[in-house]
Amino acid sequence: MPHLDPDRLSLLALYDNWADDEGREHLRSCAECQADFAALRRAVDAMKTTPDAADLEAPGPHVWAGIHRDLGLSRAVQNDPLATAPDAAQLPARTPLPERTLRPVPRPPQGGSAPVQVPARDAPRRAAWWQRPGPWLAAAAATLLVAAGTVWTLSRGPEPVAQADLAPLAQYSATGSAAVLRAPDGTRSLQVKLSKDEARGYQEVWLIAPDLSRLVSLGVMNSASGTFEVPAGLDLADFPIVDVSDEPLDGNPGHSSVSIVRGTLTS
Amino acid sequence: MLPGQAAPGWDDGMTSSFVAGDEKALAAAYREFGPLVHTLALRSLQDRSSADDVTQEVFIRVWRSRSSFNPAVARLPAWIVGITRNAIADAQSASTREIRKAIAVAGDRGAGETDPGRETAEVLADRLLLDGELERLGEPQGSIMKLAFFEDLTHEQISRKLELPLGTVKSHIRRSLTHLRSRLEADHAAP
Repeated sequence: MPHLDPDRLSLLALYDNWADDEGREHLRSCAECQADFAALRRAVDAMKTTPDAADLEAPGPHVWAGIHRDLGLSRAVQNDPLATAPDAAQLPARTPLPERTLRPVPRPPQGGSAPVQVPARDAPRRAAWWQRPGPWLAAAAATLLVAAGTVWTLSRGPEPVAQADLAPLAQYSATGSAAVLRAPDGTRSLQVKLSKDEARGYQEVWLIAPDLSRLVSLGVMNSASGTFEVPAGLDLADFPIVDVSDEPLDGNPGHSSVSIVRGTLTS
Repeated sequence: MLPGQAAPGWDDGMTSSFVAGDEKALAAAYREFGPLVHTLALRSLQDRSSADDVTQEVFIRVWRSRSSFNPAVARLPAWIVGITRNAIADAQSASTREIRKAIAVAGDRGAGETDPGRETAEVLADRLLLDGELERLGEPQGSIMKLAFFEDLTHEQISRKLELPLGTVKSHIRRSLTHLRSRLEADHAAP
């Protein structure tokens, strides 16, 4: 029998139950076709199977210590990242906030003040970084600047001190930019401009720490652009990532973990 | 992990922080991919101290050569996997010829007994390398392959669903699988 033609070999690799006894028989006796089949099958396996990450073996703490020493990293990242990470798999998809940390948060009116823990909605099985417990800056520190006009009433125009290009995340295509403007009186505002509003729920604007462990809500954005007051005293170097999320109307004040666009501020 | 989603924990927003030299992004990458890098090295080299050395070497290379990372070529996780494969190959070539032969035999995929840890690490690594490739195939190839991979549709069902001739679907499947295969065999320009 001649070698299997490439179309046939592809179907055999793609479908386990593809009825082609003659083709499978040929694979058993032809090393050349078998090698091609195995290479295609590897790609199919990578796409179709869901490996269990529990089989992986984490390196010991001395490995990070070696990296840290060799690269001369700062003390801020001295601890073994693997030792400090809680087991994300054991966390609920959205960690409810303790009652006492809840404060009024800029939200559309929707009645009821107590947070309700909602079932995870089509969330990845692993919790995202910001869903792990961590020090939360009270979201209330961020006040939604409803009237963008207040910024512009000042006699001199505000000057941009940092900006970011906003790029879409999976499933979204909006793009845009963000700029931090400093008014003569020292107040700062974040101006966000997107090419379109793609939220299925509503858009919320956040500033996030580089390791995604902490975040500050700046408020709701109901159209493709908006301007938000930056909390006084907030160090933008600590929260350089501008993020616009897609939030459901579920009363949960946390980040939905569904981001539409994101970018990092540079001055 | 969801189908077609290689690294749910890794957000591309982190990649720009990483490229910009934020050490916390390196720590986050280590937290996310350290176990995978270590397991790949351990299963290939069969020696814990060599695997530790390779893991250390990978993240040092990743950090020092971050300016050569090109997001247009691959996502950061795929780039890290490429660097890992190169570092493992370097460690292997540093050994003697005889040992290298032994490793090549032991490391032959699919040969002999199964090793769940190695299997998992290799599939995870392959998956990171292929992440985003279905989108890069363009249409209708991307849709055809998603229906085949994730909805288990036969090529006849795909042909009816997308209203494409059967022969067209077959040749798209062949070309797409060949493309995915070549991505696994390419080195992603990793240093």
